[in-house]
Amino acid sequence: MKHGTQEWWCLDLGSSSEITVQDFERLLESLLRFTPDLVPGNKRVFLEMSRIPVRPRPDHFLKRVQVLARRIGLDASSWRYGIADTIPKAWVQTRWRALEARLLPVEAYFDYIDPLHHFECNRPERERLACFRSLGMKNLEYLFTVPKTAWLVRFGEEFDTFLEHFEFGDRFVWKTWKPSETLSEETRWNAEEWVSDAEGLLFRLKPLVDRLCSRLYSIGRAIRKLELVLKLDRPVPDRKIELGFAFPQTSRPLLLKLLREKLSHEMSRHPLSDPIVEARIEIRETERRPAGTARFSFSAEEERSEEERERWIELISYLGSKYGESSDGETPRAFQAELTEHALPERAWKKTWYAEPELVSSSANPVKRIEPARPIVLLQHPETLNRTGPWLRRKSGAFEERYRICSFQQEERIEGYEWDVEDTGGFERTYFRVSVESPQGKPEEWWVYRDELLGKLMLHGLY
Amino acid sequence: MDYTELKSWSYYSFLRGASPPAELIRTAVRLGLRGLALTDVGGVYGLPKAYQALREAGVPDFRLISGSEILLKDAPGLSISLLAPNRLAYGAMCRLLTRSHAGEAKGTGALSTQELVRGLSEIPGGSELLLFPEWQERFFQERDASRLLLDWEPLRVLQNPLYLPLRRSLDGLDAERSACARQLSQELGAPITAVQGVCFAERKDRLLQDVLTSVREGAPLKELGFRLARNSERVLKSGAEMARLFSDLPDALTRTMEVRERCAFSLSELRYRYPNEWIPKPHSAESWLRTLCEAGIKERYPEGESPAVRKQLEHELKLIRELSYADYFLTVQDIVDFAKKRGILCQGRGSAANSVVCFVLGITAIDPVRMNLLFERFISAERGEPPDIDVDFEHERREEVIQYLYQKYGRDRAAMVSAVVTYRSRSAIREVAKAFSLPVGTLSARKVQNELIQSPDLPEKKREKILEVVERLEGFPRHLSIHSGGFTLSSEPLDTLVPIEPATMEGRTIIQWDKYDLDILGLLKIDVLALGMLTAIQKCLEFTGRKLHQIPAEDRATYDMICRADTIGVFQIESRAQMSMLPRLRPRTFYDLVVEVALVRPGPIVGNMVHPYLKRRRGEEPVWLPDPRLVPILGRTYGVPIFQEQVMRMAVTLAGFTPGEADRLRKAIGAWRAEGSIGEMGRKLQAGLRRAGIPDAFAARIFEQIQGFSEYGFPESHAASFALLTYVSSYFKCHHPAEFLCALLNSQPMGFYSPHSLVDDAKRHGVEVLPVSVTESEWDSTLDGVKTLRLGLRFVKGLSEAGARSLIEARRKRAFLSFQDVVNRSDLGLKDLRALARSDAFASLGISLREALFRVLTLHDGLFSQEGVQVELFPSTLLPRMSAEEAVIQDYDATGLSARGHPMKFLRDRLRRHPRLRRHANLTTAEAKTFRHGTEITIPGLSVVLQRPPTAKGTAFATIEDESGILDLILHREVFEKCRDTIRDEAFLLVRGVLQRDREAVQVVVKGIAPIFSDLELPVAPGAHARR
Amino acid sequence: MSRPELKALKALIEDHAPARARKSVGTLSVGGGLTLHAGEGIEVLGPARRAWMTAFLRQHPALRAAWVQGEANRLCPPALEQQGVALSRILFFERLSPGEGIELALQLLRSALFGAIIFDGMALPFAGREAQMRKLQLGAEDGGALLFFLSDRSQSSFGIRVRMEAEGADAVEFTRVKGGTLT
Repeated sequence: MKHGTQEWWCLDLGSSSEITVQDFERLLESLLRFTPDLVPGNKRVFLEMSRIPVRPRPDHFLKRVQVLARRIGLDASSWRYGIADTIPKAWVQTRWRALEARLLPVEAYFDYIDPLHHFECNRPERERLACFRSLGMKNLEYLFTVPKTAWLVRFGEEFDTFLEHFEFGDRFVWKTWKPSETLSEETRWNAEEWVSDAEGLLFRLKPLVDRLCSRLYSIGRAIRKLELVLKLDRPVPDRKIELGFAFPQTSRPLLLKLLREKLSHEMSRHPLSDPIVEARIEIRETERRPAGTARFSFSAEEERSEEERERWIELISYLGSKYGESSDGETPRAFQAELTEHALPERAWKKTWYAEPELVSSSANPVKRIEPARPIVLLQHPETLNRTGPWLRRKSGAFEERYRICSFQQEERIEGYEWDVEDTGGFERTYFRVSVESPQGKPEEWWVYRDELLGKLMLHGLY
Repeated sequence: MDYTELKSWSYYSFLRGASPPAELIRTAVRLGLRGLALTDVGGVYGLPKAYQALREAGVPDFRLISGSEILLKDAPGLSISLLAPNRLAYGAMCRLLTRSHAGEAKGTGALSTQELVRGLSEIPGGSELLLFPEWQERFFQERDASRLLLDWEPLRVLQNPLYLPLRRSLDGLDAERSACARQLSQELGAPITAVQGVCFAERKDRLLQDVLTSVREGAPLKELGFRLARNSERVLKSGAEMARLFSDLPDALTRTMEVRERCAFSLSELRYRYPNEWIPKPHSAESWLRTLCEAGIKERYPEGESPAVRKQLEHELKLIRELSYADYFLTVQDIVDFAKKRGILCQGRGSAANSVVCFVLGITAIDPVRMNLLFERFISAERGEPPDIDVDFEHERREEVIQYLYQKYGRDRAAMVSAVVTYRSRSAIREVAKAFSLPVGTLSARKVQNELIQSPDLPEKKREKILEVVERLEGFPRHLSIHSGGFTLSSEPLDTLVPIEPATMEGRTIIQWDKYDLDILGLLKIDVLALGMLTAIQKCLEFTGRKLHQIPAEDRATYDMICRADTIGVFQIESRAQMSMLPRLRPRTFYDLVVEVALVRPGPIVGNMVHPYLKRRRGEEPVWLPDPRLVPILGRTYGVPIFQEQVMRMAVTLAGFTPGEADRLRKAIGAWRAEGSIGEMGRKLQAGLRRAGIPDAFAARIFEQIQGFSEYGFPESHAASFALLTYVSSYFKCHHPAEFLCALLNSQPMGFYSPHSLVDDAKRHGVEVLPVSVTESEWDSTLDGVKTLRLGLRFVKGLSEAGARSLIEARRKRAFLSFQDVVNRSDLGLKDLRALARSDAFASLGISLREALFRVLTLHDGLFSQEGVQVELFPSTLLPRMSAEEAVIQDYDATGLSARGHPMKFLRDRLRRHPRLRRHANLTTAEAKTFRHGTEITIPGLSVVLQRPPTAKGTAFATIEDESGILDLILHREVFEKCRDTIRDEAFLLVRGVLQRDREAVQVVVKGIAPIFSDLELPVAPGAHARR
Repeated sequence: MSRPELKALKALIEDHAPARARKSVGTLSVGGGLTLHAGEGIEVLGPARRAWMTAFLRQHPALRAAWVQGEANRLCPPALEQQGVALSRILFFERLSPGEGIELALQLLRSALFGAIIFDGMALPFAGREAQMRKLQLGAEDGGALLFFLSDRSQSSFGIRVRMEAEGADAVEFTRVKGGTLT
């Protein structure tokens, strides 16, 4: 970083959330769209924005960063930002927000020394601060009452960096981050799952290829040359398979097709002697995507699924606004269904509305639970039945129809939870699956329950 | 239709079952069942209590089957429940359970499949255990749950009788499950039996079981979903209901009766003997006991025992031979003998002090005949309960005794008794609130109660439900912990009697039953307890070079000190209530001390015996005894019955009770207070007294007083053994204050007051206390002359004992000359050096605290040059000077006490500078004690003690302290509620109230309390305060 | 006409079908033979119409469906799940008037995301029914979707290719097939 009037934006990722290395890498890749010069620290990133002609407003910048973070799966609600002309000052501004530097508490001493906070252990820090306090040094002002030479003698170059960062500004050269030239993804599996043919290996490689494509997509590059490394069970050198492309490629299916041809060709020439334990794909050469919309890529297929996703999101948002939760509190007239873990049939599912198509998981609870057969049709208001001997009389419209009972099976007793006072407290039902014969002689299956409290027989569902 | 339930969980399956074992039995009997198998998870915790409930119900043909359920490590969801048909199989089951708990974290006992197979086949009797594999839990997850059971290989290997349990849980899948069961039963050759797997006794308990499941899963009720049962079918059901449910499989019900016939084992078959293999061969237990008694008598009564003693001894030995408790006494004597040989001070207490045999064997130190004590209180033929001897040891050396027991009898024959930790309202409130998804976070129980549960936006019905659950959850067991000292020993391995579990504490193993279970089954227990005061007295004896019996009895100066209530640090009579009673009671003899120790208890206060006793003692009230025979009994306590023995003796002499009946009366009195009904024994006593001509008024007075002390009342023998320690510690405080303080400081933590109160009190008695110093201090505090004491290095927070030892070692070779000398010669770590610097230990080398700390910094960076001479580049005088007050605060911070003076002394000059508080700055507690009764005062002080005894109906007692002494405060309920947080969190208080004087006892009834430091700024409040 | 002549005629008609290539959406579960092309209407009557509809959706897992109901929802999603239909593929609509229903259907067809639009218990307005049906048919052809009309009484035969009476999930009795035969 050359010297000159700089403008550092510090993005503090908050200390609470745990961020894995890959996610951090992914975040840096997506921050590249703001500025090429990034200086990553421990749970914080500094962006040098002085050379960007059109700079976004800081709060808009934070919002867009939060959207990017959500796509990677990070919770960005607690992130903060600060702007200053040097990295240490930017960090102090983010953390302490103090105007007058001299009134900062003693803890700021270490923030000046090491804004990137690379070294993890902060035990020496705590002890140093405790002894400052017991010597009566409450804030930075006190530090300067004692002559500098005393501290220099005692603490050596550590105090020197503090002074330099505190007063003179930034002559220090910070190392900026470059996206790694060679992207690589690997997977490992135990020896028993022996992969013999190209198809089985390809099945293993597909997730790797997906991940690689999405990473390339975000940093706007295309693949030129690819190498597949297979590690075998026996201590024999790894098998390397090279793959070069005439055109730089980014689409998944095309890549898979080319991989399949290459693999089957390889396997036929010299088949696999023993099981593969680990496979790694390394992308040797990449090329910057052609200018213009950074998201354009040759293959149609991925384009279609991407475009289909856009249309779905647009349709759902339109339908949501038209038929979803209306302002006057009326229940939504358009919904998707999601299962919930509740005994009561009316509450066994709930109305949801998801923008992203794949977010609706078919059944909410991971533990698949076997339930007795449920009726397809569930009446909104259960109809009362009265039983006389082998006949069930059901009121439909003005007159009453008589159905002959064939059998009662599948007894199921469902009781409300006593602690669930407002919701389902105090109901007790014994359900049966009743097969009856309608007046016209046609067999029907009903879902009937006896309400223990009222002692009445109610029709609740039709199979 | 006859039916026996073969699988049930009581609330001793921690967080699974929802009913106490006794309630399960009572409900089963009411429903007309023919038997119940109690199969708690991982143990037989609830069996004794179920056995007792069955004995009380008195139903002959109802059979309690002992069993338990074992979880499997490597087959989650599959568990095995075992039933014990006979005594041998029961022993095998207990041993298997012990193995399942060995080496496991508490409460998660589980076996692997090989361990189970090896256990069932190797342990004698293991192959007779009935097996009930529990396969139905997994049925909800996957269809082929039966496959799981089929290829579970132990079923092939074991020849145990195997039964296939089938449950009708009315969840719509019963038909499929029955079909699957039929197919399984053919393949395994195991007959199908109807087993409901009961979790609670009544359907209304399902609510409790849901809350317990929520606590176990750690998720609020709303998020539990399918982990909650959808109906309350896992409840005890009558034979008729089971017949309806199993109408298609009637033989499943008849098979349960088959199993009932097969399991004939009952807990009454459990017999066990105390270890006696170490008794010298020719002697039997009884004869060896007699020889020891004869030897003991010569030692206790050198000049020959009185005929009364001999008669009492013979009577006791005969009774012991009848009830065959000889080897119990010998075991206790062996322990006390070991302690005496190792020089550990010990003393028996409790009801044991009534027995001459114990006195003669050296277990207790009170001569029961001289004190006219009652042996029946200890052992009586009718009572049938085993004796319970408690022995106190020095708290620092008790571990040696315990390890001696483990080493002598072996880990499989000696184990400690467990104590069940139950839910009290405090812990129950937090758990239940979390279950009802209230935002509890880290709020204290009181805040949860006031802010969350009583908050207006919580719907009324939900609040009722929460409170109902909290109230029902109290008393439920949470986990097992160690009884304070209870030990059981047995001649044959203990784990065939009851499973043994590791306790959380290192090196300790506990049995699964608590002390009440042992009483129910008539098993014997010894209490090995720790008492801090014994350690202190032992150290005093070493300092003064005396023996315990060389202490002169009835020393005038000691009693004068006690009457002045100057008893801070003395055993038993240093608490607030005692110190306010001493000036009024003015004990002059040893028996007065016994009464003082027994009188200031909740029992006598509730039975309002305190005031009549005081008035009669001072002669303000005539002592009137209607019957001359009462004089020897109540004469010594001026006609007021204080001890249980007095009531028993009254019953014996006047109402014609036998000694055994008198002891049952004592137990009835306990129940009387609880159930409020007079009970049959009470009516018999009333009739007896009326027959003896005692006027009804006097009898009524007696009953009212008896009602008070039944539970809390002290037995006279117990009070006597404690009074002995009280007298000895008072004697040392009076004549050897320095030694007494040194002993107390070296056996911390103990007692009622914190070290800094003890030091201030000793200073007021002319003891000079020198601060911690590198050049003089040892690890313990030491005496530097007649009345000077040097604080030990043990008070320096953060200083490791190894570091201190190396410092002392280096100093013994050559005295330290300078700071550098200390650093070079003693290999102290930087942490230790910094701790020493912060406690100003280098003052004796002429280095101020901050300078020392500053120098330690240089060591940190190793800046001094090679040849070890420190480069003096910077004069440390430029550091900001430390004011006297900051020094005291630093002392408290570093060592928890300060030799320089009391912080109040420095606080007063701050107060003098404060505009509003200036006029109250100068009042000291000593001065306040001279004011008249009823004067309004406002006095500053350091809050030292805060107590709210439950029997005081909301009033709280506190004490404030300053450099001149301490002053007692009384806060009535409404005053306490107003300033509860201030008095608990603030250290320095400004107290406004009215002075109350009763002769020399002075107290302040508080009107209001203000924290002093809301205006002034004191960075670190002195840490060491006795809050409760 | 004899059977072979009929078959030849049909082949002739189909060869000269309008230039627009009609994408085949799925084949009827019963009897398998009849291929359904985008834009065709199927009317399902009888008490087990919904059970049949579920069975159809189970056989075509890739199909996204919109279930439009006239009055309040009567379906029980757990049952659909139990019968193997992934709930994430179905959009439910309830309490829609016929006019709204048609406008919604056209909107869904324009997005070409749905393979089946199911009208459950929607009585189409008598006036201008043919025009409405025609619009729906054209929209369905462009969007590559099928139209299902579930009701207890038959409403109109305009634009309806197949009408059936469902007694059970698989007990179906065809009452009318127009164009193409069940092979």
